Amino acid sequence: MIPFASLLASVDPRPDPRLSERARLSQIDASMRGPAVLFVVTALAWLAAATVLGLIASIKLHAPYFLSGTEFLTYGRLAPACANLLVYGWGCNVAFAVGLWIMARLCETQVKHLGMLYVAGGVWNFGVFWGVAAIVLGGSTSVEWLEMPAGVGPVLGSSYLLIALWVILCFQYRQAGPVYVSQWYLLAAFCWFPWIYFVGEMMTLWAPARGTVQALADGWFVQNALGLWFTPVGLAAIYYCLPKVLGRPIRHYYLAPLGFLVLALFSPWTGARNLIYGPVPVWIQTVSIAASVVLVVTMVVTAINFHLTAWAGRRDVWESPTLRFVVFGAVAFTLSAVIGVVTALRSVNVVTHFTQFAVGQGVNGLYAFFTMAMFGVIYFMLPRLLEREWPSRLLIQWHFWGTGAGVVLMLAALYIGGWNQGMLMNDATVPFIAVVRQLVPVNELRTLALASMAVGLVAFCLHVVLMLVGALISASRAVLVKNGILREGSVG
Amino acid sequence: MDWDFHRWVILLPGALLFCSCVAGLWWAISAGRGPEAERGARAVFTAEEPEGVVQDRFPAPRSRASLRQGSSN
Repeated sequence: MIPFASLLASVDPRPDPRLSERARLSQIDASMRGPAVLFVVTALAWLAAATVLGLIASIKLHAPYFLSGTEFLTYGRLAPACANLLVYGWGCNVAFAVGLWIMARLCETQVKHLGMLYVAGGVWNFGVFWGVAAIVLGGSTSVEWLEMPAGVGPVLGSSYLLIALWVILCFQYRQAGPVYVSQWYLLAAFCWFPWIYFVGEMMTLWAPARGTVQALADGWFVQNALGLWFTPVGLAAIYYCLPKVLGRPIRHYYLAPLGFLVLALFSPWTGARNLIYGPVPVWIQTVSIAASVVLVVTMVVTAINFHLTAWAGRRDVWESPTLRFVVFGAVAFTLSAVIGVVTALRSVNVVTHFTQFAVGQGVNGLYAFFTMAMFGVIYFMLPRLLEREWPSRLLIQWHFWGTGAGVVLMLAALYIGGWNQGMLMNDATVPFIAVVRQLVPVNELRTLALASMAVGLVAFCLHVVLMLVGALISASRAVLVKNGILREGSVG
Repeated sequence: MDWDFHRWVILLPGALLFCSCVAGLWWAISAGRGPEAERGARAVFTAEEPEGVVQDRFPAPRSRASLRQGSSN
């Protein structure tokens, strides 16, 4: 039986204090190398799968007979499969990688017992595979972002706890000194997610509420998965990478606690934002509207922090692959927040609700903001983990322009098309089929945008593969030199 | 329950909470806590990745000479 003291010592993630600070940062990065690469690679694989399914689903919106010969490729299965792959496959995996790495670095602690993370990662991805396969085979629950069968929940939950444990341990054993804003956001996000996931699963699948309460529970889950999980992880990444890369501290940093507290206090109340004018009590809609308007504080604070900092180093922003993506994400967050506040108002929501405009808001939050910010962090993280530089400027350019152009085109199509859709739907003289017909060019643009994003993603995946292969070759050569099989100087 | 009740029960405590947050922030800045908060802004820098140094650039274009040298090793 392992003595309690030695068990605690084995878990203590603090690096050897006798090492210089330079060695400690390397020690921290080395401790995170395996798990971070595992989570990043699996995240990209799921994102690629989501992009393929999303592209097929998007084509079906304007060419319904495309691949119509099989039930597995119907829109009703592909669309939720794509959404769940984006949320649980890509989003959560990359959040684990980025969250663990940033927290370990800021707390100056290393991650030990990597076997736990490998097992947790394997179980999480098994759960995602099981859930998405069930959706494609017809076992969808039809609850937005909770379409995976109820049995998948405990699988994801148990693996999540093993991962979140290390975030909390890193923070518990952090070095003395001020706590940085990214640490607040990450710690809070990793504590919030199990709460919102558990409540969402409980109230819609395990012990489902009846009537419109179920719609409210699902709406609350979707809104808070964006607002209390992906948003704080994305903001933590931007708050870390932007000053780090520029070598300049965040401007007006003293405002950051205000933005964090407002997000924490008011975001949970915005759950009914997408159900305004729906069959839910009016007071719940009003509370959501009020909370959404208050979130303008977080938008203003983050806009001041991010955009003033980026503007001061604008030349360096353009010359850095990391910051091109991170600043794109920061701008998208500001835009998404502004639109979210405006569309929460009843006079605007009467046009935008239940239209493609709402879809655009989802794309803005999950892709334009979160995904682009994560791409930026991966560009910063992987060279430090693998101790080698990205091999190709061209692939970075293809990735940035392909993804950026695709995202901008997608948002323009959905926002403009959604607004038109809402205006026509509010006109009683316009037949519904006319509204559907005016969406055809919107859907065609959406497909074009997805194709552009797919090209960018292919470039990025290829680049990551080249990076990993190069790292493996270098490591193999180093081992062969050490064993005297190869001569010194032949290590790449 | 009518709107008048909601207005006092929901909006008034919310407004009071918001005003107290702003007042607290104003006090913190006026009491000189601002520099302490700014010290936290530098917590992201380390000796290896210090303030004032740009940490990320596009990879340098590889010249034909370097490519030939790499293939000969």
